[in-house]
Amino acid sequence: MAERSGIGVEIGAGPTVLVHEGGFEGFLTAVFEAERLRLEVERIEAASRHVPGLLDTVMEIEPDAEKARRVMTGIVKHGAKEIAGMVQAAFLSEDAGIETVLWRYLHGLFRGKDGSRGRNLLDADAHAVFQAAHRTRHEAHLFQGFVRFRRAPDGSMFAVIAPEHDILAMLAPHFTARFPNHAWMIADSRRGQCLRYDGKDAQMLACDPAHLPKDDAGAAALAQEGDERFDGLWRAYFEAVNIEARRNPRLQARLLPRKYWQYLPERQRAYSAQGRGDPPDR
Amino acid sequence: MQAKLSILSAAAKYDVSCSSSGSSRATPEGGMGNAAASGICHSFTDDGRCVSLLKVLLSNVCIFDCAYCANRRSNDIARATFKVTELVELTMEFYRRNLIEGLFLSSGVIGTADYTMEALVRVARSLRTEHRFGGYIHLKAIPGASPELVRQAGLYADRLSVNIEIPSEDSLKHLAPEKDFESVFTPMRSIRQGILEWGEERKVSRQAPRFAPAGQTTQLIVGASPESDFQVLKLASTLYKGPELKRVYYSGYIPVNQDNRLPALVTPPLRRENRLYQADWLMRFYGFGVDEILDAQNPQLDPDLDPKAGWALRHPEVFPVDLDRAPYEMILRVPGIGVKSAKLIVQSRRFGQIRFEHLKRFGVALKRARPFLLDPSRHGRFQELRPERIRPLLMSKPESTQLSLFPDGSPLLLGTHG
Repeated sequence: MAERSGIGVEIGAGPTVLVHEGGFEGFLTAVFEAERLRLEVERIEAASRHVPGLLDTVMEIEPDAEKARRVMTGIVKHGAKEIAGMVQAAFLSEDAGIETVLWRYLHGLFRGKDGSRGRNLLDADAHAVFQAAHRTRHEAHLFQGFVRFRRAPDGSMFAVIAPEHDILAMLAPHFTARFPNHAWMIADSRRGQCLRYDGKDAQMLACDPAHLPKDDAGAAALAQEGDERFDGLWRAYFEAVNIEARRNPRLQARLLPRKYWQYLPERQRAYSAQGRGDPPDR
Repeated sequence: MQAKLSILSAAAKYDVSCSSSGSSRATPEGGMGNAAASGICHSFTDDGRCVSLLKVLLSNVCIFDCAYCANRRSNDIARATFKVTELVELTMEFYRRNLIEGLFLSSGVIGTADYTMEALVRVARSLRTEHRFGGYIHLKAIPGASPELVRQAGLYADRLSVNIEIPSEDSLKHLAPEKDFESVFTPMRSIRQGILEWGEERKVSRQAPRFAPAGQTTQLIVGASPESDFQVLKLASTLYKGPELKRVYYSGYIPVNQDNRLPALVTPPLRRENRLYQADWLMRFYGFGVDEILDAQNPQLDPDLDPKAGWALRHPEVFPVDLDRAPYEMILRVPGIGVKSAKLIVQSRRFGQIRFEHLKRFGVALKRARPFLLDPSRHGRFQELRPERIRPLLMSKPESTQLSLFPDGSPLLLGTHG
């Protein structure tokens, strides 16, 4: 007992909860320390989610780029490059408890468990990681369609989203390739993060969620004068292509879930009606 | 402008194709837009259909008088025609706002087929060359248009399509006196030829332009004429094999006109349409031949049973399937198992025995699949398959009018997959 690890924890005190600052680097550092110190891991979690328990042994982790890099190298070595990508996508799901599942999965991977190099989806943890990664990537794919740009007074384009998973960085390659010749920005109002492209490079910045619009009407208010013309045209188009004889709101809500209506101009009326407790959509 | 847009998009909405998939194109130097191979849906209308492209007619003026068409010349409706510049601005501005993947442009026949086709090409050319637009463009080939114009269209567009609309020539001539199969198949053949020729060119030089890289599609209206499901699917199957169409779309007839040549339908035949799509999926992704789905003795799809379940019940002799050993093609034929879960099963089984709990996790509809599978927990004993007892398990609930498009609940979306 009482051997100090140098990070502020007592070794051998039983199951440990590793708490990090929240980013992927912090998580990987936690994995690194858990392996190095052969800890019996109770949970790994972000500080923002951590609720101190009376009997938990808590270890606080400082993110460390080198340690994180070594874990990534290990994942590629014991699994493959795609496995590393899957692990990161699963982490970005921000699903409750996913980091602990990832830890068990990685722990098995590093030990060559079942010789599958991380591909045995009959294993419950491996399948949970696979699913979380799939859901995150699927949402990123959906947002390639659901991002709505408006023209800002300075002529650049801006959009606000509130995705369930932390997909903003995953959108960068798509929109950079599609709109390489004008400046644009996408803000994640849920996480206070912005992806900004200046016409040359894309980068992630922190932005204050309090200053971001709460819905599409708020975003419209920030747009350049005259921008609303295309709103009207888009709404008119959206209404005109609907075939009333085939009306099917259930199918619509399944394909375009209500949680995404907040920043869509064509769903704005339905979205605010919902907020007032009116029957959804007309 | 808004009124024009409303008229010309409402006039185009009965064309069900909205796919933006099957093409990858990099953003042109100094321009905007690319094409994503997987296709992207930007919204979904109240009828649950995907909005991917700005789908409009250049004009709803038409010299033809097809009984099934809302834009026929004898209808007294508001008519409008876009200017090329208006359409180009709309496309560019919608695209910049990420409302669409690109443009789907069709038109009523104004004056002559060539005059109309030329106008469509002009819009595409302006977008591609003046505005360096790299997004998706789908153009209609107007029946009767000259091969040269169709060739030009193919060099600007990602996809071309000619709608057959009515699935037999007799019915087509009856409902659309100005049309026959020849007027549809001629442009279809020019497109096919363009794809083949430019494909050869590209083998020689990577610099050679692409010709309609997302291929060609067509649409069949079902329920406006007396053809059976077997006739419809047989035609589709021929089109997939011969001119190698990428997609055949089925559009349940919606009564837009009063015409004594047409059936008096109250609601569109959505269930029939759904079954046809399921059968189409079986042909394209599940390795089924059209003759396995229907034949001359059984020419109609069962409204209460998806066609894959129907096949399984007619073939009890091939079951049970042993998931630990059966080939992928056979696993795909089990009701309740889709492409995604079949792939997961094949990838995973080398690591251990597949149990029913795994299947649940993999998204298999176990209730449907179970009677067709060898249950490992029962040491290979299998209760004889009695189709008449299993059938009720597989039937769709009678009250639901619009079903999932896919036999086994694959999450793929209509229209984005080419």
